[in-house]
Order: sequence, then C-alpha cells, then structure tokens
Amino acid sequence: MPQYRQFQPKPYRPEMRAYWYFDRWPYLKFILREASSIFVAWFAVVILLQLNAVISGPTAYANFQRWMATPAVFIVNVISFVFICFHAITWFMLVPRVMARQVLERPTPDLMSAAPSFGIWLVASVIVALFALRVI
Amino acid sequence: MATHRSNRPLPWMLFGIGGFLVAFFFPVHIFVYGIALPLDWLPSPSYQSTVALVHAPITRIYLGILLIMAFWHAGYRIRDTLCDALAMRHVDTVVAATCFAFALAGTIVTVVALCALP
Amino acid sequence: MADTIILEVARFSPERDSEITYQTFEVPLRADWMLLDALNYIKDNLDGSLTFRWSCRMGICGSCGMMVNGVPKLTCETLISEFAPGPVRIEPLEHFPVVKDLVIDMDVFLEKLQAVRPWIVRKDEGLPQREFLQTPAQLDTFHQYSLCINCMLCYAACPVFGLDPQFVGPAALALAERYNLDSRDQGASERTDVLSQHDGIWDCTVVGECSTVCPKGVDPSLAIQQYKLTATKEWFKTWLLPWGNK
Repeated sequence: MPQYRQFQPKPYRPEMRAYWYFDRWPYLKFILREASSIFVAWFAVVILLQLNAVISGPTAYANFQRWMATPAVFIVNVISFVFICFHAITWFMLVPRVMARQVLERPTPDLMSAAPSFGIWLVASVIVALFALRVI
Repeated sequence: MATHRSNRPLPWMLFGIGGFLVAFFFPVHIFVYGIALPLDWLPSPSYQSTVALVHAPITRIYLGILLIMAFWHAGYRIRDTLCDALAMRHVDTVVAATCFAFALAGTIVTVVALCALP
Repeated sequence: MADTIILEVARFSPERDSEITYQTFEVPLRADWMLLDALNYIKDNLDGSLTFRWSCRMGICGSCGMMVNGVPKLTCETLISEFAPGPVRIEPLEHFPVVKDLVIDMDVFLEKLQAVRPWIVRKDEGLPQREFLQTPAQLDTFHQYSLCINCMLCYAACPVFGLDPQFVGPAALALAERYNLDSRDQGASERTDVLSQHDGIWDCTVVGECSTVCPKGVDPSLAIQQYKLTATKEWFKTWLLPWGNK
C-alpha cells in the first residue's frame, strides 16, 4: 500500500443489490434470456415423456396428447414457446457475429452475420414440421 | 488472483452447440406438439405413422443429439442464472453439481429411451 | 427551454460520512453545455469542495466517467439539455470503492490491466532493427479493440463485475485480445493464464452492457467471446495433444 494511504479513512464500498436486474431494462432482458434455459429443460423433459408414451403404446400416446391439451400444460408450453423464440432471436443476433469476426478478421455488420441463421431457422422449422405431421 | 486454468471450455462448447440446436429446432417442436396439435390447428398424425417416424434411425440420431445438447445447454445456463439472478455464487459448487447431474441424468434417459423404441 | 436545471450530486466525505448523501444544485441550462461544464460551474460558483476527475474535455482521456441517472457516461460528452427539465442524478461510477464525492478508487482496475500485460511482447533478443511491417488487413483484426481509453464505464455497467470484483473485466480482457490479435505481438501464451482462469473470460455471461455503454465503440463483449473460442481450442489442444509445446 502506498505510504500516503496508511492514515486515509476507509473508502465507501457500495453493496450490489440482490435484485439488481430490476434496475434497468437491459439487465432484465438479460435475465429473461438466461431464464429461457428453464423452459428448454422443461420441454426437453416433455419430449422425453412423448418418447416414453410412444414406447408404451397407443393408449399411452393418446393420454400424452390429452395431457398436452390440459390448460396448465398448454399455458406452460405457450410460455416456453415465447421464451425459446426469445432465446433464438437473441442467440442469432449475438453468436454468429463472433464467429464472423473470428473468420473474417474484421468488424462485420450485425445484420449480415445474423441473416443466414434466421434463414436456416426457417428452413429447419419447415422440414421438421413436415416430418412431424407425416407429410413426408 | 488464482491462475488455475478453468475447465469451462468443455461444458461451454456443449452449451454453444446446444444453443444453436435449441434455437433452430425447439420452436417448431413446441409449436407443433405443444400448441398447434392440442388446438387442432393441424391434422394430427396417427399413432402408427408416429411410430414409423420415430423408428427410422435418422430420427433417433436427430432426437438424441438435439435432446442431449439441449440438456447440457440448459444445465450450463441454469447454473449461471442461479448464481447471477438468485445470488447463489457462494454455493456455486453445489449449484454446478446439481445442474450437471440433471444434464447427465437427461442424457442417460435420452439414450435409454431411444434404444428402447420399437 | 427553462433557464436552469437541478442536479442531484452524490456527496461523500471519508472523514465525516459513513454513507453517500445527495446535494441538490441549480445550474444554468445552456444549450452548448455538457454535464462536465455544469459540474465545473458548481465547483467554481456554488460549492468549491465538490470533488471529481476530469481532464481533456473531449472524450479521449477517460477521466470523467460517472453514473448519470443510473447509466455510466462520460460527463464531458453528455449534453445537459438531454435531461431537461431534469433533475439529473450524478453518482460515482458503480462497483468501485468511492474515495470522495464522485472520485472512485481505480486501483482495482489498474491491477487487472497490468495482469493482462497490455503491451507488445517479443520473444527476440535486443531492440528491433527496423519498424514492424503490418498490412491494413492485419490492423483490421485488432484496431477496434485498440480504441479503449480505460474510462471504466464498462466495469460500471457489468453486473458480473459488481457481483464478483475478482472478474478481470471487459476493458482488460478486450485489451488482452487487442494484443493477442496484433501481428507484431508474440506474447499470447503469457496472457493465457490470466485470461483462461475462472475469473477471466469464463466469468462473462454475455450481458452485453459493456459494449452498449462504451463511448469509443470498442465492443469488449465481442472480444471476450472471440477469446472464448480461442481458449476452447487451446484447452482441447492441451488435453488431446499433451506432448505439444507448452
């Protein structure tokens, strides 16, 4: 410690508030984005339950479909859909530009890095939907 | 400052791959199976055709990779969220262990389920 | 436009106070004034004991960073008329110990800055015989990160630094990456330990506020994520090729 600091009164050290993310919208947006992971975990479990129902036979699968239509589960799934879309949008705006910068080695406009991901998202969704609905 | 090199790179890579896969594929899964079919917006496929779909190796591989990566993505992110949002940094080791145990459990159940399919 | 505007300024005297208090001042609301001009007006005419840092008045020295209505800003670059009719709350930079009034203790940041070795590291012996040649393309890879003026607004904006003061932080990590990417530098391996520890890049959860508040457009968040990719490659090399050069 420098000599002149030995007798200086202690500085004021502010404490971080426990719910700091309610202070500003950008912080809340960040926490909501991170919280989408809870809904990812939820729906991964739902897909496992769906697989389990498929293994167990037609009655079990019908019960599973009925369960998915109950109000509570339906609402949670709608909320999950919103959160996971939020995750997807924020992900495509953030992550590809890091890879673009690493590969191209110069600053790249954000939209140029994000656009291909949105395109792939659309194509992937259509293909999966076609398979899931047994159109293909 | 401790200068032990972190071992985060491995779970971070899984988090990254999982993030992409979840972003590309989860929305359509939730929309079709969680919203559109329960609301009868789209024609519901028969049980037999669903079994046939899931029976195909490509579907099993797709579901396997998607689910396993989704579990590791969620585990990594939930651990960080609990530490940042709910001030649990001081019990970080316990939180990390729980989250990665959950991810591991999800992985094992997924592999077992996909192997048990008819 | 009204003639005057109220400023609520944080006051803290280490001899007298145990907490920050706020004092209100009424200052002229002039169209061409920055907040720094208002603070200097207070010091010259209203209360000479108000203590704050400033120097260049033009956004290049990085001294005048303060919290303005809860957002970190350079007071020499922030028009006071933006906040009309006011009041405007001015506080010292968040997440740093407060020495007096609006002056914070920078040692925490300076230690981290030194730890990342932000200078050209060469492995060859002696002084260079001629200038280093660098193409514009090579300059492009790191130029953005070299614009940092060490104003610490990014640290004030970073909640991770607020929660964990050991976090190396946006500016230090961006400057480390600036030198890692510089074609003249050969010291990337010397910086790896500091960067790859848990309090280095891995503490960052990509909030992104550091890049939003940066007055020079450095985008430290991008630098950190870039280095995460590099660090991951290094980590895999360490585990898969342990006989490789350390």
